[in-house]
Amino acid sequence: MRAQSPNAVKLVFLILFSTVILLPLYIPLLNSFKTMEGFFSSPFSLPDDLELNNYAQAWVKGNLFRFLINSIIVTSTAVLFVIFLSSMVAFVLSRRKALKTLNRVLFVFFLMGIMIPPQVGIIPLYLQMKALHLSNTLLGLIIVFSAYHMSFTVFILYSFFKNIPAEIEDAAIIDGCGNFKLYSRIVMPLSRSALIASVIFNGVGIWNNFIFPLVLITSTNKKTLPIGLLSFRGRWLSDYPIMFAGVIIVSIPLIVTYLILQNRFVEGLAAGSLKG
Amino acid sequence: MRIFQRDKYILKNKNLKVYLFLILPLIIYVTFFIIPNIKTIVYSFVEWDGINPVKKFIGIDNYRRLFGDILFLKTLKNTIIYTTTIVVFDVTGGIVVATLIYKKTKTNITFRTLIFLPAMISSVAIGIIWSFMYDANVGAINFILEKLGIEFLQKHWLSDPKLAIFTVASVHIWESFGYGVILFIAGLQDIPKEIFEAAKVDGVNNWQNFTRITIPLLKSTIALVWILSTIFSFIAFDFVYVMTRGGADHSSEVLATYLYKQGFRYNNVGYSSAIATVLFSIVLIMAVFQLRVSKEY
Repeated sequence: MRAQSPNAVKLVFLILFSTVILLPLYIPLLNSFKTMEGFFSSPFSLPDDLELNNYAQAWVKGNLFRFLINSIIVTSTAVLFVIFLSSMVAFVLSRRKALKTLNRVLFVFFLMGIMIPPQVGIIPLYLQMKALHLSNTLLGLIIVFSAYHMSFTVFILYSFFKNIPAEIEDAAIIDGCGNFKLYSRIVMPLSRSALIASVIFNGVGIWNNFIFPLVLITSTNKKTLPIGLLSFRGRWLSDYPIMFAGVIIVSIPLIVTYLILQNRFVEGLAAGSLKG
Repeated sequence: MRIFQRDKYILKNKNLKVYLFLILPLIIYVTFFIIPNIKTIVYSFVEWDGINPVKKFIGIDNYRRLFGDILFLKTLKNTIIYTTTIVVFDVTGGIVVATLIYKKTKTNITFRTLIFLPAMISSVAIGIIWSFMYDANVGAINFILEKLGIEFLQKHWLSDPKLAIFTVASVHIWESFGYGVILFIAGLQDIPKEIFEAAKVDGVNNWQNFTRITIPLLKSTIALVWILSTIFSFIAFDFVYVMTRGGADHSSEVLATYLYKQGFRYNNVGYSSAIATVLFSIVLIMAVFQLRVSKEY
C-alpha cells in the first residue's frame, strides 16, 4: 500500500493534467456537431444527432477550402525554399577548405536572425513589400517566410553538416567531386535526419504563423488558415457551433500528422528549440 | 615577397568557388530580413506616418516620448507580469511533470504526446477556443464553477482589468508548456541512472533526490528553458491580439501589440519603431545572457 501511494498520486495528477489539455479540445469538437439551441441548452452533453451543417457552412460560406489551399501552397513552397537556401549556407559554413575568418563572420551574420523577434521589423517589412508590389500575394508571403526562417534552419543544418567526417569529403574531392556534386550527392543525402527535422520545424511554424499573413495579406482569397479563421470569427461571432467547426477543420491536418509521426515531431521540435 | 607567395599558395588551395552558393541566400536574407530590421532602427529616429514622402529627423525624441507615455509604461509592466507568470509555470511545472514522466514507459510516452499536442494548434484556433472557455456568460469555466457550487469564483475573465493579463498568460502556458517538458525530459534522460541508484542505496528519500540530485544536475536545462520561455513570452503577440486585442482598458496590452497598434492603427511609424527597438534590445540582452549562461555549464 505504501509503495503504491506515490503512483496513485502521480496517476491522479496526470489525469487532471490531461483533462486540462483535452477539455478545451473536446468541447469544441463536441459542440461543432450541435445546433445553436443544442449548444446553449447543454454545452457538455453529447450531441443528440450529428449536425453536419456547421461543417458545410464553415467549409463553403467560410471559404475554408480556399484558405486551406493557400496554406498548403505557402507552407510547402516556403519549407522547400527555406531548406534549399539554408542548406547552401550551411554547406558553405561547414567547408573546411574555405576561408576560416570569412566563415566566422558569415556564421554570425546568418545566425544573428535567431535573436531578432519577427515583430521588430514588421512595419518596415510591410512598407517594403508594398513598394515591391509583393504585399497581398502568396509569393510575397513565401519569400518573407524563407528569409525569416533561414537563420534557424541554417543553425540546425550546420550543426549536422559540420559533423560529417572530413574523410568522406576528402575522398569525394580526390574522386573529382566538385562543390555542387559534393553538396547534392554527398552532404544532402547524408543529412536526412537533419532535413526531416527542418521540414517539421519549419512546417509547423509556417503553417500556424499568424503575424505575417495578418500584416501582409488583405484580400479574402489570399488568406491562409489562421487569419482566415480570424475573419471567420468576425462573421459568426456568437454562432459557436459553426465557429467550432471552423476551429476543428483548421486544426485537424496538423494534429493528425503529429499523431502519426509523433516521435519525429517531438525530436524535431525539441532540436529546434535548442537554440543555444 | 615570400610571405606574399605563401598567402597566394594558401588562397590557391582554398575552395573559393564554394562562395557562389551564397548568392541567392544572401539576396533573400539581406533584402527581406536584414534591411527591414535595420530600417526599424533608422525609423526610430524620425517622425513619419508611413505615407508622406518626407521623413522628419527628430533625434532621440521618440525614445524620450516613451518615458512620458503612461500607456507604454503600463504595457512594459504588463509584459513583465505576463512573462513572469509564464516562466514560473513553464519552469517549475515543467520540471515536476518531466520528473513524473521521463521514464520510457507506454503510459509516459502517451502523456508526452498529449502534453505536446497544444503546440500543434494555430494560435488563432487556441485563442478562439479559450475565448469561449473563459467567456463570462456562456463559457465553460464559469459553467463548471457553477456546477461545482463555487459560484463566487466565477469571474469576467477577459474583461476584468485585474484578471485579463493573467487569463491570456494562462492560455500561453497551455500552449507552450510542452516545450519545457520535452527539454526537461531530454535533460533527465541524460543523467546516468547509477546516480539515482546509488542515492537509493544510501537511503535518500524522493524529496532529497529531487532537490539534491535532480535540480543541480538539470541546471543547464533549467537555464535553457527559463531563457527560451522568457524570450518567447516577452515577444508574445498572438494570444493577446486574438483574445483581448490588449483590451479591458489596455490592461492586457503587451509591447508587441502596442507597437503593432502604434504602427498600423495610428500610423506612428517612428514611434512604433522606437518601441520595436526597445523590444529588440531587451531580447538581445537576454539572448547574450543566455549564451553566457549556456557556456558556463
